[in-house]
Amino acid sequence: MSKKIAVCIGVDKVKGFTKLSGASLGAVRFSEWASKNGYEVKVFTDQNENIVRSADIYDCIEASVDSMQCNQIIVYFSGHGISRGPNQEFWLLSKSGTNVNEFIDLRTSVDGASTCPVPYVLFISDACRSLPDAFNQTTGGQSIFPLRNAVSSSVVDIFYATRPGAPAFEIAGNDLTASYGIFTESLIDYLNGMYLDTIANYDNHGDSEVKYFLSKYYDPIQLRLNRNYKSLRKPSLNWIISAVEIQIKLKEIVEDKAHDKKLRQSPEFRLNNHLTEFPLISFTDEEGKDLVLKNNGGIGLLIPPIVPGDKSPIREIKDFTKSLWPNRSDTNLVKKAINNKLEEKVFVTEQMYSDTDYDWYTGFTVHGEEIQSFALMNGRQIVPINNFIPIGGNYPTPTSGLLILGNGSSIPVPIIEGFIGELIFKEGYLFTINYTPSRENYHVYKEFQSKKDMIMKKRNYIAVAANNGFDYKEVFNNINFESFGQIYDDPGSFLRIGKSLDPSLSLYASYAFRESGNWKKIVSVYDYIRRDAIPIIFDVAMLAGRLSDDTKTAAFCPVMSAGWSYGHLYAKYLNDDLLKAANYLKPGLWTNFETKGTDIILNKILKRKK
Amino acid sequence: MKLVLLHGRSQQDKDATRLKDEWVRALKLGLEKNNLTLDLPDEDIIFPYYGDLLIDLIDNPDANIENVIKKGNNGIDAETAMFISELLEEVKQNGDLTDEEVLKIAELNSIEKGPLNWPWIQAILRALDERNIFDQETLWIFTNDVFCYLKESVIRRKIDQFVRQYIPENDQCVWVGHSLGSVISYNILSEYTGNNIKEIITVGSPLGLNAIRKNLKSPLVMPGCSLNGWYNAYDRKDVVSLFPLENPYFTTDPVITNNGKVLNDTKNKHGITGYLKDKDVALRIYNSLYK
Repeated sequence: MSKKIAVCIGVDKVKGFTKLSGASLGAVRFSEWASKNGYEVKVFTDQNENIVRSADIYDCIEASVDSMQCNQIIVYFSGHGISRGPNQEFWLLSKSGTNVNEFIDLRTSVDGASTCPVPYVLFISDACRSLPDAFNQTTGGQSIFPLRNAVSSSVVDIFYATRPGAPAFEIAGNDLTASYGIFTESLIDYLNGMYLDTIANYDNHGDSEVKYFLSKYYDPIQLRLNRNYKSLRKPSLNWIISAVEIQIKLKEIVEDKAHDKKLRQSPEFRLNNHLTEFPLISFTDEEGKDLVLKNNGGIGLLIPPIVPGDKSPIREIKDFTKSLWPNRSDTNLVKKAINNKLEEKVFVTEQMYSDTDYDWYTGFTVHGEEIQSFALMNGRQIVPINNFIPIGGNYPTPTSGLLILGNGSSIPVPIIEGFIGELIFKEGYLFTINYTPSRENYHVYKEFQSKKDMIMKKRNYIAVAANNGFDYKEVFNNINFESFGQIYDDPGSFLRIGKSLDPSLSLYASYAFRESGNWKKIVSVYDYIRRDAIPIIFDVAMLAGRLSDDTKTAAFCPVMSAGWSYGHLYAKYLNDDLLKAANYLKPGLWTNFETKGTDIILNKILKRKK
Repeated sequence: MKLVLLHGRSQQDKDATRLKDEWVRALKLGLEKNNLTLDLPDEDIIFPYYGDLLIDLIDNPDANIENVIKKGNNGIDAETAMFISELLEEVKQNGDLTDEEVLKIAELNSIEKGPLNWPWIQAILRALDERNIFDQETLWIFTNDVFCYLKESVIRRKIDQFVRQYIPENDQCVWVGHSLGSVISYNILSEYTGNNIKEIITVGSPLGLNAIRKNLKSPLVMPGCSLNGWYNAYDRKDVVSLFPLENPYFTTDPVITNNGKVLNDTKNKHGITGYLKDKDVALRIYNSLYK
């Protein structure tokens, strides 16, 4: 007895936010589609003055997971959403305007889902991913999935209605009851089988698997003349639409619909590897034939292909011409160009990093941003010389520092003894960090020199991923590693090699493993670094679940903004003043405290020396 | 026709042959109560003995009760402690032991408000032992084996692989699993695509325990390889298997036939001989073999 569950959440009203009309309707409409198609449906909307609470949703999902009867859970949300940075997405429930405990943290919910024994979980987010204003910034929210540590973990996919940093729109109909979200409307049309060229059948022929598309399998003219002129090979075979098929063209459909309304909305799909398909809807062969006849064998909508721009992705990164967030919300052309050219470009020797040898043993060099000073944990402040920050004169060498920018904001930085950190800024945002062994760190330096090409390839990959909101998987999937004679299971496995030569790789690898839900490999990264006696970056220890009162980390808090989603892992080990400072985080890829946050850290934690 | 017998926790003083003899003898006793005899040549009774392999695979086979009691949770990671804690808590409830009784028996004056309260786990083990519900060493070994099998994917894969080779693919068979053997049976048979298992019979199965159930693959299924479904027998005083395999403990479609009337005469109500000697269990196996 296996069940498919659809948890449909729609919230129109949140204090301090524009009242929506179509969010709850979207949830109801999605639930109607789900119910009609065999899903057991749970609906949470604020219609009729209901209050939608995170605990109720959690309880509902936990009961479904623990029933051990589900083979699929869809969590649909329509309403207000905010994004504090990549992988820091929040959904707002009825009380979110005044109660931070009523935010749903999408990232930790995805992480929780990946630990549950449900074969497939899909999150559908028809919500804005706009940056929060100061009032609504939060460093944490509630997970709506339990942590289960199941032996066979879930495949978890996410459909976002829009790109990071961008709004999703609902369109007012003739009256309020006809309002709808562009994304939800398009998705339901899609799931009802409107696009025949994305409805698939997977069949086996001997050892090979063959995928057919409905639009090409049946000739509508012949089908009209003789309905039985052709059939699927076995009656048990079905036509299906899974997340993989949705991805084929829903993006273009939504973009097109938004464009018709003079709006810009571009969905994003984060799909995991599907070793088997998980149909969101199945059609029998007869139903498939009906769809062909109904749609006259044509394609539901003719979408003109978007022509990739003639842009070099590497140059895109190097030029730094656009600010990060606007770029993210308008990256369709650039992204397609990256898709087309990444494979050939990402491993070219051309690279954006400085290639200087450093005689100083430990320190930092900063590119693209004015630096005010660099504060150490003992309160001492170092004034940079030509944007180079020498760390010395202390024993033992400190492992944490705070880089204070010209605008008064600050960035926590891991100090790694024997390495020179390189911080690259783009339009006021920290873009990437890497570490190169100092010439004085002789043995590591020699090894680095012999493996420099390999490290540079990884840095280029990271830069492309950073430009893509650190969506490692999407970038990874566009590289044909085999053509370079290398095969890696996942982005983390690619990144982790070389971490003793550039410890920042441990940071990137850990987040990449987190993205794929591979927590045990994060522990392995942690163990290796610990054996190498290199200071462990805070985020690596945190994601490995190894923070403790005795763990010495490089950096005193998460250095990537995504790390702030893991309150349950770090809260116990950060002091109250630091947690207060975290209320003043700027949105972005990396942790960046606003001036107020910087002052708290300098005065309360580092006890600034005048 | 073959009869496959899959054991639970291996017993240190018995090798595979002796263990098999013990099973067969007990089954014959059960059949005698029905005036029946087991008319199967020895080679048709398959006994996949994975006990030594399991001990070899477990990193720390000496992690026995003495270590736990003497050393506390030193060296035992949080995941292990969490699983053990959850499983033993369920066993405690099944044994009708109240918290107050556990505190009294263990002479604990205070309870730490931490996530891994190791003295509390030790107290449950002691209390179950003192009340003659389950001796603490056997229960600890059972818990440790189940944990290693369910949570260590390498161990699980190797044990499954080892047992899977004993499926008589060219013959029909009746499959009997006891205790941990029933968990292994479920994992293997729920993925086996043949259709030659005449009936699955489990006795003293802990599959209904939440700590175990949630570490299986979801959704739970009736193995498609079984021609006549699944029969599960248990003693209502067997603290590790007193839940029937039915909703809400173990929901399948079609449902499992449960028999909770067994009066297992072994000390902890869980021993295999106590199950196979049961008149109804033995008759079920017989009918499945011959009818």
